[in-house]
This record gives sequence, C-alpha cells and structure tokens, in this order.
Amino acid sequence: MRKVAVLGAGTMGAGIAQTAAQSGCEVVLHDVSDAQLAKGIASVERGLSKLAEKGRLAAPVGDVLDRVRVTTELTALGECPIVIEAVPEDLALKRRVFGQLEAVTSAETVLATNTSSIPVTAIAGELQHPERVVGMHFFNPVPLMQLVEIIPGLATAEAAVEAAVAMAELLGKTVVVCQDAPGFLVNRVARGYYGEALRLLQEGVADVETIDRLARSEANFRMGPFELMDLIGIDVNLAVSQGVYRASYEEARYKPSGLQERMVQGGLLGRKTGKGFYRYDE
Amino acid sequence: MTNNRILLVGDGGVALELAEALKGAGVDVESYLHPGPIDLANERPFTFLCDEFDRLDWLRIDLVLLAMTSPKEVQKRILREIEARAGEETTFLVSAMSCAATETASWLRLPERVVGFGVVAPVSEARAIEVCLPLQVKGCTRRLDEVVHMLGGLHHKWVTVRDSAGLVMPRLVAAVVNEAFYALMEGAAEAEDIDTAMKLGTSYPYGPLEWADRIGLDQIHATLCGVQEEQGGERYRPAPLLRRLVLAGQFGEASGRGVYEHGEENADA
Repeated sequence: MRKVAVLGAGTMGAGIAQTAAQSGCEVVLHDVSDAQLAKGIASVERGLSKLAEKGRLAAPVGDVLDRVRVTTELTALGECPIVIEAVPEDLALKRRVFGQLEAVTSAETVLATNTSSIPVTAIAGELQHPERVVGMHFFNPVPLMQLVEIIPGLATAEAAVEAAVAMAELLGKTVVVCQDAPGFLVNRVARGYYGEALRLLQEGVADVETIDRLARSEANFRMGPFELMDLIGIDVNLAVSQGVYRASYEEARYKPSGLQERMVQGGLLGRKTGKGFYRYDE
Repeated sequence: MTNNRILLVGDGGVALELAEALKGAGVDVESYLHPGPIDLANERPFTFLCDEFDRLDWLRIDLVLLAMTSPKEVQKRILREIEARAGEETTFLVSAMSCAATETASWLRLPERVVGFGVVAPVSEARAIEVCLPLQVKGCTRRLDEVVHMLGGLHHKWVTVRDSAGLVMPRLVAAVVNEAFYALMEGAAEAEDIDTAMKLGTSYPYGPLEWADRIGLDQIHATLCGVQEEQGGERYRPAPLLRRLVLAGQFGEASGRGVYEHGEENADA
C-alpha cells in the first residue's frame, strides 16, 4: 500500500486526503491545529459518505476513513515517501514549512506543493535539496476534478516529476506537465474568460445576464463567467488575477478589473456572502 | 422584402458553416466563399466577384450576408461593389467579429441598411447568434426585424448586444484562445495538454486550441486585430505564433492544418 502525507487539513488538504484514501493509500494528514484536523477529517467523512450513498465507494466508509491518520507532529510524516503540502498560499509560510519538512524527511522524500499561484522554484529556492520539490496543483473539489497540473521548478529532478505523476495517476487523475510560469496553465488561460467578461460589462456591450446566457447558449460553456466568479468567490478570483498580473510584471492581458476590486471592497464576494453579480439571499 | 433570397460572401469557416446552415434551413442562398482571407493586392478575386455580381438578379436579393476575416480595405471594396448594384431595400448583415457594424456602415451610401452579427463556431452547436445595430440607424429596428424574419429557419436565438468590434463571445473566446497560443509559443505545455487542462480543470466545452482550429485561426486573428484597433493598447495583441500560422495559411480545420493536422488538404483550392 502506498503511503502519502498531506500537510494542511483545509479544503484542499482534506480533499487530497479523501481522494488518496479512497484510492487505497495510507494517509497521514497533518495540521498545526487540532480544531482544523477535526474539521478536515469530518469533511473527509462527509465526502466519503456521499460517495457511498451513490454506490461509488469500493469499501465501507469506516474502512476507508481508517486509512487516514491525523497528527499535529511533523515527525510523523517522515516515514512517507511523498508529502503533499496544502497550507495557505503564502510564500513565507510555505518556505518555513518546507524548511521544517527538510529536517524531518530523508533527502529522497518527494516534497510536492499544491500551490495554485506561487512559483514552485521560489518555494524550493532556500532548501538544501530543491531537486525533490515539485508542484502538484489539484483543483477544487479535489475528489471530483479530474485534472492535476504537475509543475517542475527550475531545480526539480526528473525523478520527482515522475513520482508526482505516478502519485496523481494512482489517485485516478489526468496529468498535464506544465512550466513554472505565472498561473501555470489553467489559471493563466482562464484569466481571459473573466477579465474579458468584466471589460465587456464595463463597456456596456451587454449586461451580466446576457453575457452569461451567451456563454452558455452560444459558446456552450457550462457556466457563464459571472455566475462562475460568484461560485469561486470574487475575492479569490481577484487575488488570482492580481497574482498573475504582478508575477508577469504587469502584462496588459492580465490587468485586473477595478469593478471586481470595488465588489471585494464592498463585501460582495459572490455566493458565500449572498451577493455578488447575482443575489442569493432572497 | 419579396423573394427572401440571400447573397452570402465570405472567406472563412464561419461563412462556410453559415452557408451550410442556411441551405439546411431551406433558405435560398447564393454563396461566394473564398478559402481564407483575400489579399488586397490580388485583383483576381475582385474581378471574379464583380463579374459574378453583374450576372445576379439583384431585384430578387433581399439580404446580403458578409462574413469575412479579410482586411478592412478588402471588405470595404467588396461591400461598395455590392451596394452599387443592390436595391435600396436590400439589408446588409455584416460580421461585427472584427469590425464594429458602425464602422462597416460608415463605408456605405446607405448606412441605415446595416445590421451586425457575431457567432462562435461551431455554428451548428451554437444556440444563439449575436446581433447589433450601428449607431447610424438611430435605434430603428426595422432592418433587424427583417433579418430575424428572413433567417427564422435557423434554430438559433437572436440576442441583441451593443455594437463594438468582436461583440461579446467572439471577443471573449478570442481572448482565451490568444492566451493559449501565448502559452503554446512559450512552451508552457504541449498543445494537447493545454486543451486537456482547460477541459478538465475548468470544464471548457472545447480545448482552446482545438476550438481555434474549428473557428479558424484567421477568424481569431481578425477578431483580435479588430478589437485591438478599436481599443488600442497591448491587451489584444495576437500571439506571434498565431499570426505566423495565419500568414502560413494554416487556418485550422478548413485548410486541413492549424495547431493540429486535420487530414484533407484543400487550402490551395
């Protein structure tokens, strides 16, 4: 049985732990907070129970859940050949965490980061063995989304890439390998979908409802850009846009929208606050 | 409005698809389709079209449909040749995918006869077509109503948006596709991987590069250039790789090769 450690029991960490457990892996789920671990494991249990209800879980929920061991001790991760880090998106925090990981793991342990916006090269930059650090970008919700972006940093060894690809495939995911460039692939190419929709709205070419309707009926997108931004969270979407814009030294194609920033300032964050481009609180 | 006969002049995949859709809907359509953008310096297409136009029974033509990705000067010249022959009641439905309908209308003696349209290929899978009115009509919708009536056989819903180069979805999809071409050019990933990532990572209906091949690289390029001309700035600059592929005549499915190989080679026809 493959062993994998997941660092951080937030939405992404819990999703990765669940996916690994249901794929037959033995999982060590780590977080610095007991409360977060409790939330994380509860979320794994909910996810597994939903799958079981639909008859899509091969083993009983309890058996799968038993494969996940929770801990607040970093030393407990040392025995796993691969660690997937999913702590908050903050370069200083991630660098500190990877420094600690280097102290408790062997030089052969593959250290994967689930960052969506920080260069893998920057996370690995200060380590003694940056060659075993690799990006492994999962999409939310992890158990449902089929894609994993695998990102080698400038110093990453081929063996680490191969290990990350093998792990993602073991989890039943489809892998694309992409460069360590701002936004990797999906977040980068998708910028235009949101940015252009915001511009069209600001220019008065069409209103929110019309643009969303055309996206669905004319171009066959599953969701229009505005309903999708409301689902993702206007603040989350703006932060990605700002990150890619800054990291590219202000490339004009990625320029964030002032309208979007105004909405964040006004607390209109989308579905989670009941108000965004649409209203959800009525 | 008497015979409901349509003259279609086009040079790209959208025109080709529209011709098929109109014939499928039982519309009486006379089509002149050039394989790819027309070069202003090449007189042959103009001579050919003018000879053909001289033979047409213009009293029977109620609607002229122009769907071109060629340079504006080419479109202007063809439209003026058409207007010199068409009756005053003939409506002009022109692509606003690379040039605002207001600008196209400004080339004509009777700008009030113009209606703009835009649609994202594949036309057969689209359930809506965008239409817009140039500023010269001052809000009068008579010509638009005629278009909707005459093309009522198509299964598409007509959605009115404000006139501007690229309208809504052609501009939005062109922006997404352009970014995919930058990513491909920079070696961020292989073409297939870029397409896979966008379909699985964010549920796009088609990968942006396979979509570009379907829409036509010439159309994507024309939309980006048209929006860039209207908006100014760097934001809509076509990826150099996209521009080179268009210059090489690799427009996508219609020419047999674009980002991907598509088998039948008919670009030289």
